[in-house]
Amino acid sequence: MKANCWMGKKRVEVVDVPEPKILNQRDAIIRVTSTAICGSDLHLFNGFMPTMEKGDILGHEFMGEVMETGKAVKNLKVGDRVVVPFTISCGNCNACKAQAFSLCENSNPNAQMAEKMFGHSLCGLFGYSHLTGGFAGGQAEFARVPFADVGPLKVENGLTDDQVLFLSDIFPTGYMGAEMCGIEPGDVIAVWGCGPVGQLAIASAKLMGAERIIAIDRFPYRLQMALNKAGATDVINYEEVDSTLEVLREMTGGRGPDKCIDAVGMEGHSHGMQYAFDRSMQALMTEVDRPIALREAIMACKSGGTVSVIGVYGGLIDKFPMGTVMNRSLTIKSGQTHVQRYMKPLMRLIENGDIDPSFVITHHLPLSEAANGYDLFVHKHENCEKVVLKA
Amino acid sequence: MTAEQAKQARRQKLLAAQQDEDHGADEPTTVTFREQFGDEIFQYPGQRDRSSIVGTALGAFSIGLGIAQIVAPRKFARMVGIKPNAFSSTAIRLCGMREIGAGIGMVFQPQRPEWAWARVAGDLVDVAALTRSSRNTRNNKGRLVVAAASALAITGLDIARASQLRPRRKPRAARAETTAGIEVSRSITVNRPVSEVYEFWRNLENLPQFMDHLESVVVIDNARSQWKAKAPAGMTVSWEAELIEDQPNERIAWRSVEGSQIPNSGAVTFVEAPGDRGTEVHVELQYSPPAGKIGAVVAKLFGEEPTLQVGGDLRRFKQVMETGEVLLSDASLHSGMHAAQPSDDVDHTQHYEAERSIVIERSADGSSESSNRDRESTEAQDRADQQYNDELANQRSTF
Repeated sequence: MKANCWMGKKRVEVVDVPEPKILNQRDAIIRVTSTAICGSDLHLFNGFMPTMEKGDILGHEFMGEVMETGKAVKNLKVGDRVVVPFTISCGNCNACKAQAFSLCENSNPNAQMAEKMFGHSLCGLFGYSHLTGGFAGGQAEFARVPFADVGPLKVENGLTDDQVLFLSDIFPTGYMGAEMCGIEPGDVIAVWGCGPVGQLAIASAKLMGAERIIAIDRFPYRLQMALNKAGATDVINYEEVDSTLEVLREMTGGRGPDKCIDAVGMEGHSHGMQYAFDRSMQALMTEVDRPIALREAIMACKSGGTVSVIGVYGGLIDKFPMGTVMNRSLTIKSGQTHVQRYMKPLMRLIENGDIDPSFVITHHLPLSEAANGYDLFVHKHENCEKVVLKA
Repeated sequence: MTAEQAKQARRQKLLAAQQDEDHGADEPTTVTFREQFGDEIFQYPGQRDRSSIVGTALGAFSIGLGIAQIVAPRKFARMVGIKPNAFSSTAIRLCGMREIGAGIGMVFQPQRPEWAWARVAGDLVDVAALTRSSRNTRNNKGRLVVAAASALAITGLDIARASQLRPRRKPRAARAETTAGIEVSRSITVNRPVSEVYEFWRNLENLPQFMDHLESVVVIDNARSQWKAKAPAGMTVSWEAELIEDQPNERIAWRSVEGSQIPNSGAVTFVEAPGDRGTEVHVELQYSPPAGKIGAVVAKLFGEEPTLQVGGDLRRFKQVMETGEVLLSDASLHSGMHAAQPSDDVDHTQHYEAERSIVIERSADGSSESSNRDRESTEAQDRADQQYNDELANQRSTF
């Protein structure tokens, strides 16, 4: 089958690989109909995540048709149309029972490796390096889905692939980002990053009743989308202002935003000394992540507020404003999305017409042009926001 | 005898057994992963620590200096106070090449002492040359003194740096042959009732299902069992073990009988985890690898990283107890490095068949475990719905 594989830093290639087979009793094999490129895939593409091997199949946002199931799968049958969450969760461990599905204690065969890096392991993920288990990803014609009785959500409501595909990752991620803020009536929310996750975080914050949502980015087309389609009330182009902090302060009557969402993560960008510092730290390999948006969110946040971090980080950061956090009673909430927790309720929102996540899609490409898709996405050519690949 | 006393007694026994060995009476060691491989494992591939940065910086300085010396030897000569002539230019160029050589070595291998000492040697030559040149009245003595002093300072720096570096140490495990008694302890929490966990472990024949290095355990009678472990090159190692402790739902302990090839013993303790989270399983294993070839075999057998091996076994145990089987991934299916993509060259059905019995067993009790899981996952979804509904009502997060 054809699959999009990581071939090295800044190189992906669609190659011929063997088809997946049932390995465990609770597996299912899915024929992929739609799959997307995620912003976090770009961290793999740009070489920021360790433990990648040449030939790893990428992709963790996918959906399709069930082709085969293991003997212990009772809830799915051949022919079912399903969306697959990017987190692999067993459903039986303490973490899954507490609905913290991205913390599943049983789904990472390389848990030892992750434990060295993070202290304890996280769950297994599709197509996201060997640190998360070395599972083949979904940017392929077929995919093997472990614990198919816990993850995949059946789509029986006639909605299109484009409408429901993002239940696999970015819609629950944006939603969880907004939810972690604990939005109350009258809240002013600031969102760093207007990539697809940021857009859906903005949309979710709107659904939750935020009074004002300030979107921060440097690409005008992304800010436009935030304003016109996602539901932001204000935008800041950080390259056109002297200080985002100052602007945020003035916009909020001196208070600062009540809650802040970091939807940027480890490849933060800014102009000026901070960026130069972080880039040189990365070159010297003492710092892997560039937490520029995170630092700014912490400094900007109203005292006593919450900073919700859904941007992906991989390792260690320098110059973290811990003094600010401590002295101003800030709460930081973070996590890989507990996708399975949100899929059904968010599907209900889509069915009711409250939201159509497909507004973020700007490009449809065949799977064979995956490399082109990555190129568009990473360089933001053609006003690229989200690329969906059709297998 | 309490568990602690028993542990101490075992330790003494191991120590005594090793006293007359020619490897000396070392303390039984608990070999941690960090001790074996050092802090390197916490770094990203290619990541450098502070020490490497110093080395890289010195190397870069060397390269810069060398380039300057090669490209502009006359200017350089004047700068340090030497009257430029053909001889000095050649000499300075040669120095430059030496600097670049050492510099490149330091930049790419900042932790290797060879390059650092090469710099020191070069520095000493520089100091000597500069000092000598200062005697020549044609040269600018003042500048030369300054240059010599700087070179001396840099020599000091380089010596300090070079003596910081140690030749690369072999990982601890390679010395397993010469280390007496290895003791490993590890624990894990399993979301199953204590009785269920105890029962599964008490049937020692279940152990190979999650202990990778074991091929089989055959129960002979109430106390004795025959163990067979996989060794490299398709060999097997076998020993008989006896149960020395069996407190239902609390503790099981076993040890190899007298005269076994590889004396080893183990104990597992079961404790109810706080907060209704299931069972804490605490495992302690001891084994004393004998000397020589067999010792090396044992090291490989029990894994060169004993704590990792036991940790992995416990994780597999947890997976079997909680989900019915050990989860495989496309990459971890293979020993050694393999890309995360499906492969044709692995007999998948073998894995599938091997685990079937466990899952069917687990499915059999409680009238189908998987339908329980079905219910549980639906319940999880329903809980999620409920939470969402609560949220809509209160617009407040409950997580």
